[in-house]
Amino acid sequence: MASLPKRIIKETERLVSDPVPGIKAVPHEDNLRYFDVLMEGPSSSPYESGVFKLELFLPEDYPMVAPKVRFLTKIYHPNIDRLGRICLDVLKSNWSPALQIRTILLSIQALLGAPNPDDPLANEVAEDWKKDESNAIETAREWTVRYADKK
Amino acid sequence: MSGSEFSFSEEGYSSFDEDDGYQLSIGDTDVAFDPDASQVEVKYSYPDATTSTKVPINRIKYQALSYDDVDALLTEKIKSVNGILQVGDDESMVLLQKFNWKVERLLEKFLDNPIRTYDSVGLNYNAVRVQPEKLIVVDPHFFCPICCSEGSEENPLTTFHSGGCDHRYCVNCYATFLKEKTTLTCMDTECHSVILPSELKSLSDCILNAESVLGDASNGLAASKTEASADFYGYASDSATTRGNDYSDDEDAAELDSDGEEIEEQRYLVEYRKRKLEKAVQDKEKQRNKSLYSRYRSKIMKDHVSQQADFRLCPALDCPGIVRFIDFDSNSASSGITGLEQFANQHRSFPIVECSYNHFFCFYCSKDNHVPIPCPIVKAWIKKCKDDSETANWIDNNTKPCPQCDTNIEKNGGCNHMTCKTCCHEFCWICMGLWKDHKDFYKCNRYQEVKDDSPQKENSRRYLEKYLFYYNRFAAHQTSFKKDREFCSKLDFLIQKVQKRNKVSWIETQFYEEAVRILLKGRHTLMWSYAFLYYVEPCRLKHLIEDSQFELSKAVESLSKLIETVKPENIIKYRQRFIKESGLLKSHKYALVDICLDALASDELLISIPT
Ligand SMILES: [Zn+2]
Ligand SMILES: [Zn+2]
Ligand SMILES: [Zn+2]
Ligand SMILES: [Zn+2]
Ligand SMILES: [Zn+2]
Ligand SMILES: [Zn+2]
Repeated sequence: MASLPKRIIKETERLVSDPVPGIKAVPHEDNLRYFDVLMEGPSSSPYESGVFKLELFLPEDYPMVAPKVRFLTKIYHPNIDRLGRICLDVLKSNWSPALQIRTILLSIQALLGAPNPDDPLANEVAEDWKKDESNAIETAREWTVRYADKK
Repeated sequence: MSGSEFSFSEEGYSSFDEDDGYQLSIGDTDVAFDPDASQVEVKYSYPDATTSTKVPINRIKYQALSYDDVDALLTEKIKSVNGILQVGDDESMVLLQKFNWKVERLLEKFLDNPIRTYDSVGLNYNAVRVQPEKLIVVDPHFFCPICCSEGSEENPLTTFHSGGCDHRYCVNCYATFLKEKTTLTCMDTECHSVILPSELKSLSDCILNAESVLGDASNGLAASKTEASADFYGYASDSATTRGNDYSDDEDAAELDSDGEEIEEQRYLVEYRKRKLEKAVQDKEKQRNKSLYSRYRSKIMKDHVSQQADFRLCPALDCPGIVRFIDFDSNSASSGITGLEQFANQHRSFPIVECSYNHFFCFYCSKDNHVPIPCPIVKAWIKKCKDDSETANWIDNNTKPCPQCDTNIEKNGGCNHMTCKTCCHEFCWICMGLWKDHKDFYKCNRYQEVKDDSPQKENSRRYLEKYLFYYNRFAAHQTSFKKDREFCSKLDFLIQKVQKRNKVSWIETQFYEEAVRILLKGRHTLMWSYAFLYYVEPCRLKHLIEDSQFELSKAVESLSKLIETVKPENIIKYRQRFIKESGLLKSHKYALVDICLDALASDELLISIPT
């Protein structure tokens, strides 16, 4: 494997020594560009008390291109589709190399606290959300209990 | 017709007076007219104003511009906009780009609210920018947050920032970040400060200098630039010497037995020079891609051109050629043609233009030269094939069983004259019939129309059959074309090998390269002629076209077979046959083109394109 860029080493070190509250990101031993992520649902959101599993991968051109992130745990959210793909501007057009893994993960966590059904990725979920928000929030809570329960 | 086909420049044109002295005015979205570009020759999209039977043909007038011509046009446009805005050339360019190069729209917005317009592109109307040369800072204490490099007293980091903010990053990170971009902004997450072209130039120069300091001098820009231009201007004398040598080596009377052949040789020489020139241009393009700034400028230029209705980028891969539409010829004008779409929809119009690097393409549909197929047919056919791709998918053009012994035969080359390796059966890949039956009485290129007295139910099936007949042939030649082209791409290498092994000069192998090129062009025409005939109602003229098409297809398969079977090391031995067969193919191709053009120009030919 090609030697790891200094930037990735630094970021990884900091993720370990100074972890983001409520988020744990651990690189794979055999592939240091691949991270297992555990994310706590933000408080006072339907995802509260859930722990979500994500995978994060740093492509060859990182940080010139954004990391690839995906939810592995099933989640009911208008900006996250059935395959766990996330619709978030900073992961796409608004990515800047000045952003980091930790800032990206924090943005994702923030997205859980503030769903945006007007810019949906999962269309049916967004429809439900707009039609009957309290019902949608209830479903999100149910899914959290069913799939993202802290063991 | 002479050496390069459809080299449609016409002598005796008067360099266009109408456009002389044309200047950009407010409200005009066109490019300011640059005096240099008016020196460029005005060409016609077709060599003559009539077909071989003197039927008038519609033509367009155009200019084949070089990169530098269009670059000059852009510079001129920016200058004239700045003449009005008075904000600086760089700023004017960034603003123009934001407004998709529409001068009128920019001026309107700017005059309405200059500050807001200015800010919308990441410029600050009231702030004074740092001078471009002051943006590069060498700093021993700098830490680059992007790559995490740290400067030291011995190894200070060189940094860059936008003239509108002070977010510094190391020059390497900044250069990587800006490499593919056309909208240049600060790398910081929140800051949207724009980076001006002159500022990018400063960064670009800094990177270039660093590279040449690294001892990469032989690859450095300055060194190879002089080399390239020496090559560019020195090619004539260079090849003249080569020529002298060739002739002294080649005093073989048997080889040069006629005047005709000497003319051939000279033609190859001209071809060679042309291609050498082309190569010099490609090298120049490579140089252009080398520096951060030049790459940016060339992207900007392409972006600009793509927004102008009168301009077309040459569709050939990596070609910097640009064609500019000037006007319709008097024929078209007198038949009331005012727009390009209207022009292209006439069945006797072919807006085929040639870029400065000798690529022919259609100005209307940006496809390869599709003469003699009118644009609407090209369009209709492409759409039909797309819509019916499901139906046609089952046709496997790569493996078929031998009609005699059933052995599966995989097609590797382009030639459709097949010989089964197991039983030596010779057959036609397209119709699977016996090859020797392909004579006057059996033409597998001709679709046999069935008399229309059967019930409606039968009709749709027949309709499909007809389509598949033509599609099958179109697709077969398309596949062959791709395979021939693949072969062609390996040609340079093969020829070099032959030259080395047989100790022959380039000029003696030119006939081979030429043959492959003629084959490719012939196949291309043949392929499209099937799409054409699909839309032509049966009639006397269609029959004539089919006869001509048949002759061309025989010539194509014959040359294809020759190229496929003669090993490169033996080509010199078969020289005469290559020359003869490619000459034959060429004349059959022109015959087909001519006959189609005449048919199109006459009112007898019925074309039905379902809408
Ligand atoms: Zn850096
Ligand atoms: Zn900035
Ligand atoms: Zn070209
Ligand atoms: Zn066309
Ligand atoms: Zn056989
Ligand atoms: Zn056949």
